[in-house]
Amino acid sequence: MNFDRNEEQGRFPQRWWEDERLKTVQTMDKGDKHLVPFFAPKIYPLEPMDKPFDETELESRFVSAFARILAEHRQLKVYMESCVKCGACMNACHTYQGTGELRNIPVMRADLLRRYYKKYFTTQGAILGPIVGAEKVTLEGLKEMYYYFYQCSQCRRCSYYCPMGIDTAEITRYGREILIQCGFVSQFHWSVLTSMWKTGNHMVITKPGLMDTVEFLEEELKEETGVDIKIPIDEWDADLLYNPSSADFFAYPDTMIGVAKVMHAAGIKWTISSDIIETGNFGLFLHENTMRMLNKRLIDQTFKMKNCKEVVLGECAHGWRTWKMMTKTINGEWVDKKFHYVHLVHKLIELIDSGIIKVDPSRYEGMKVTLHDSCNNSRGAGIIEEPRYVLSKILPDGVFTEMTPNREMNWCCGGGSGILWDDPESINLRVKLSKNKAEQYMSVDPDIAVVICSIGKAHNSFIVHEGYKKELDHVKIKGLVDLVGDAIVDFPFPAGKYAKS
Amino acid sequence: MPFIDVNGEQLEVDEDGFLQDPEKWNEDVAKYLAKTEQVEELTEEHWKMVNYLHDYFKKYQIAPMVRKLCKDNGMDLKKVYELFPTGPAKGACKIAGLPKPTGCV
Repeated sequence: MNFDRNEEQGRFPQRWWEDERLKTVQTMDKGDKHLVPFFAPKIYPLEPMDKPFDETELESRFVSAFARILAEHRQLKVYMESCVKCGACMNACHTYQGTGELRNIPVMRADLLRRYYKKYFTTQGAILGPIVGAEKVTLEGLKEMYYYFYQCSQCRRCSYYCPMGIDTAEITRYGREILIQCGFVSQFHWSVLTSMWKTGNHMVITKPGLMDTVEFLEEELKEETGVDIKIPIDEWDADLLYNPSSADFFAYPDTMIGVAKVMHAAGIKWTISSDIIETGNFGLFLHENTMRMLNKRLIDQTFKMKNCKEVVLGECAHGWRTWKMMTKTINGEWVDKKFHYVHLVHKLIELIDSGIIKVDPSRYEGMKVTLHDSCNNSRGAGIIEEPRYVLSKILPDGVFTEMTPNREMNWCCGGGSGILWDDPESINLRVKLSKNKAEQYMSVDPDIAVVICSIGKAHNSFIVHEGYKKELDHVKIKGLVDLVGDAIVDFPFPAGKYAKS
Repeated sequence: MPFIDVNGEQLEVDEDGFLQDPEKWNEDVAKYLAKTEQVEELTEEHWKMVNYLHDYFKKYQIAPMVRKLCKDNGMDLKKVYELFPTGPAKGACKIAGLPKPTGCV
């Protein structure tokens, strides 16, 4: 495959980073497996498409998708026009710092889309072409775009540094949407969306499977506390609907156990709907229409409930951001008129502050706890001080240690926007992407790291138990509600869970 | 879709080598898949786990929770990683003919 577009098009002038860039592009097809685009077998239900992928119609497909997004989202036009190439985003990006690839600097990544914007949507680009950095769409160009757009974890840290207020995460989001319409999608993201359409959750959990898992969790609860604690499924007369992240039923049982303990101690009549055991919404990462449709599932389900007054969304950061920040725009103003939608951390504050659940901070004496601010919680939806407040109530003084930087300037763990590929080639990339986070952990050296996000739990566990195992294997990754549940005075403290290994 | 060849039979697998149709799974397939997941020989303990996973999947169409898997087989997670170096969700499930777990794990 000939990636050498410079010679072909006689681009002028030769830019200083070209050599470096060509080197990476030429090795692209051999490298990280998931970074080689996956041609979706069929685009429906993402986009109805009557013909399979065809190279000859690439350009028209690309331009029409781009034009539609520009018309629908005026901010993209502003982002495309207003970059002054100051490079302030360079040191803000963990992907660039981890991989060292120039195209991973947010501005350079956005330029991959900007070159097409110039060509097809500006007069000077259409006339002057390569002189102003405009380029024609080619298959190789789109592959290059794919390669870098799927390394961006949409953490939005760079947008905090941008003097022009450009949100590179949004550029990535729209870029991925355009790529999908041209037939390019990451296989991992595709399989997650397929699972979601099939079963209503990311983990392909069927109802019989869910019931068996819940039964197992109830046994665990009985063993741990000596009390019969129920995890009610599909009880339609409940007062509160809890919408968990489906990964809690597979990989993070402590989170589900924590929620059950809190609800039992507070005496709340709650339930989980077996149709929507998923807060997550991968539509946020790559396709807006999918995001809208998946959001609607949650709305439809809550409207089935008779007495339900409150919907609590579980520990899933991008799911909460979708719900909090996007729903009103994409699904309509009316959705939160009928119900009160809150994040689990808000509910915990309410229960602890009103004295409904009583916690004993002395249980965590002698441990060192830190908090990882998930990108979509902190930068995306403003959950910054809330978890710190809950931690201040359940931990004794001096136990909580901040990482630096923290809050909205926190480093992304590297797994944002679902970069959870686990084939051997991609694992090397993930280790690189999580370099900054691992350094933060090493400088704080905590016993427990609190992560309020399922993707975050998966990726932080990868950092401490696989990627940087030698230095960090002793760190435990826990959800916030895990710690709250174990601090409740009504139940004995499961010391084994926190024993140092 | 790629194919694997086990005793002359062509079996469809996904990009990561997970069996597409769990019905086609048998002991020979398990032995073949084990080699791709750094398990040289399937011992009795391996078989116990693999059969447990396969039966559970047949019954519920999902992979069991990792903690349940450990508890029902009387092993801790460390032991599971010793048996299957690539982990319970990837290595063990692949050998037992289950589809690849998707989602935030």
